[in-house]
Amino acid sequence: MRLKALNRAALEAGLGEGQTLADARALCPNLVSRPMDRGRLMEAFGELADWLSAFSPLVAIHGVVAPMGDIVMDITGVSHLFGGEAGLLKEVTARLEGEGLSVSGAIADSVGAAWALSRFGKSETLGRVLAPGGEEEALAELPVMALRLDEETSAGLATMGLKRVGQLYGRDRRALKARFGEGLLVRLDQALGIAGERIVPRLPAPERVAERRFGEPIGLVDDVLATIADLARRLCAELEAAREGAQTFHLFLYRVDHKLMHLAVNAASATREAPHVARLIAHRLERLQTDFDAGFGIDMMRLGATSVSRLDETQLGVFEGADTRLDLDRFYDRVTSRFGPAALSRSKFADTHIPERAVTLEPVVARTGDAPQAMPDATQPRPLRLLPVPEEVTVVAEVPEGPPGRMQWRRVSYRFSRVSGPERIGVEWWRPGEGALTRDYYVAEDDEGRRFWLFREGLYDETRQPRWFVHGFFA
Amino acid sequence: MNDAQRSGTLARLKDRIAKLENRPVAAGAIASAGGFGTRRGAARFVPWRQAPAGLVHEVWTGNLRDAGAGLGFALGLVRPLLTPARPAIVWLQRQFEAAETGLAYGAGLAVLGIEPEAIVIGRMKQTGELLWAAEEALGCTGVAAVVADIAGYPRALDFTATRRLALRAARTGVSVVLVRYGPEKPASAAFMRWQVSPAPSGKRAFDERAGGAARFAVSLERSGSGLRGNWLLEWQDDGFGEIDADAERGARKAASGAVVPVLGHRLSRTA
Repeated sequence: MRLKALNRAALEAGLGEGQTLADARALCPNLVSRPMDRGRLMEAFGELADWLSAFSPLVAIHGVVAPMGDIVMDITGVSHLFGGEAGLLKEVTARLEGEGLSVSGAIADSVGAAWALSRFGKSETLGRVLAPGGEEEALAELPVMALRLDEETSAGLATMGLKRVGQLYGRDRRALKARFGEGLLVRLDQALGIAGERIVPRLPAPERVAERRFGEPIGLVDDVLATIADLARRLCAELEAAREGAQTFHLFLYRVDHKLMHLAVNAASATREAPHVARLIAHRLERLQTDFDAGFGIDMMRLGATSVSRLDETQLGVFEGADTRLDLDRFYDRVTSRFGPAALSRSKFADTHIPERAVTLEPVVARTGDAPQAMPDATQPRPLRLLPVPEEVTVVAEVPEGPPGRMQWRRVSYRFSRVSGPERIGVEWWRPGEGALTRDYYVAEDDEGRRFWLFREGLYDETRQPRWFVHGFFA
Repeated sequence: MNDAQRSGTLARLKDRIAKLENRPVAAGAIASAGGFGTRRGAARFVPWRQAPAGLVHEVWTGNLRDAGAGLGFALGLVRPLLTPARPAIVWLQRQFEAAETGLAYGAGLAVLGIEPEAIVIGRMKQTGELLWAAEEALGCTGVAAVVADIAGYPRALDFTATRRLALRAARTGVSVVLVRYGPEKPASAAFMRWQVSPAPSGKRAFDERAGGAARFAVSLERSGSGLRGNWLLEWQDDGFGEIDADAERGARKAASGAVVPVLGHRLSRTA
């Protein structure tokens, strides 16, 4: 076993990363070691990154250079809230150090430059904020490792005497590319801000937000709900001013112990009605009642809107009642915000003859945009209720390929007096499946008038032992 | 006190009781229509053809295997309530019941003349959630009716719960149909209680062996206005039609016309 991560005290005792545990124990008998749990660490790191979105909504865990990755924040347009970029950096590092974490951070125009400065900046430049355009100068004195290179490349550069980033400036790019591949040049360009670099935010980035910070952390659900109502009012006022409505609303709760709770609700149609939005979120909160845990308190709340679209004021006519369409949408919202989007659905037809595929249930909120298919051939009998999974039954048929005569279903026997069919539904050979068989569907009515939709799976030349299933019930 | 005075007082008292019970206005209309049940008289009221909005119905079938008939009758009952102003029927079911009684199948609704688009399918985990959703639906001006499919005898659906639904339905004018299964019928505040069982279908032209249009043996066991009756109904192109089982069998009808059709129908079943 080897050491993977050390705290400051261990480093001061002369231990180093990669040392075997036995050696380290010999050097430092009272060493406290823990086996590394990568999954849990990743999770904790992710939580920390999410929580940092309190400062700026765009936070990503970036790259695989460090064992867990690095937290990258896009702070465009937020630094003024913290008294400038230096103030923001100070605030973030102070908050994290207050938790006993070792933090190094930097602000630059490119992800590469900020990474280099935060890792390899000298102690006096640690926490330095790089002015736009200063990358070339700032990086010149740093070792080539600061370009986020792998071991092999940096070792190769070292054998050529290229140890500092500055030595790479103005080199023949074709030669570097031939020797070290495209990767080196990309990293160099990224660090200097010549090539762009995408960051993928971990959380949805709301287009409009309203937020509130608390001097004293709050913990009661009622307080949270009251704040939601207030935030919804502010957010909706903002949407109204911009003549917009939103379909998705996100609530972010930032806890003092660096955890983030995030929940989202969807509305069936774009809205900016504050009481409605607040109620949707309240329902959603109610749903996770047992999971709601304010910990040591919540010190910031943010309500954001995504899927924003234009929404003009609607004027109701004098003689018109309330808008039914809108009222239905509000009903869908209330139910789905409480029970989840799958709770309410509508039938949607697909272009296939297989009954269980021909109709799918589509949630009423967040409907897909594809054109609705027409109902399949209405002249064929289709049951009023369809079993999600066909139930196998024992059927006695008069002749092998003939209609069913008697059936044993759920331990009760039925004798059929009237049968129509078969309607033959073939296999969709273009779908992968393990030897699906042709189905012959019959409408069979028993002596008392119950009508079943039965099918025999398999023709006699397809299989030796065709099986019968009940698939649905008619009125 | 003469007769006119007496009947006037009686009507006033009835009005007061109806008000106390928060009975919908339409229900009063049924009560005054009166002539219901007799086979003569043109203006008789037929509850399965034009059940007024804002009532709670219970549709009972004996067993889960009659689920098709129960839902078919319930949907047929509320179909006339669909209007452009109220374009939706909300059908509610508890999730775990789908494996037993099946899901409402969009393609099969065409038989009842209901656009699949009009049916909103709600699936909840518990009865309490289902009742909550039903109440929310009752408050919506776009909903024509709520059809709730509930197997067994859940504790959450007690008299109080049905009373809540009844009061809310009366206020908003949205009808509720509770489709229930089983032999026992606990007390409820439903305005009409129907017992439905499937009946052998009629003949289909050109095919002796095949079944025809769906038929239901229906009996109205209880109603708030005291109306009762038994019918053998068939789903025709545009609504229920009453079938005279005796006439169909070519049997002589009793001269009095007092034979209830369903009795004849039962006789035919035992024959």
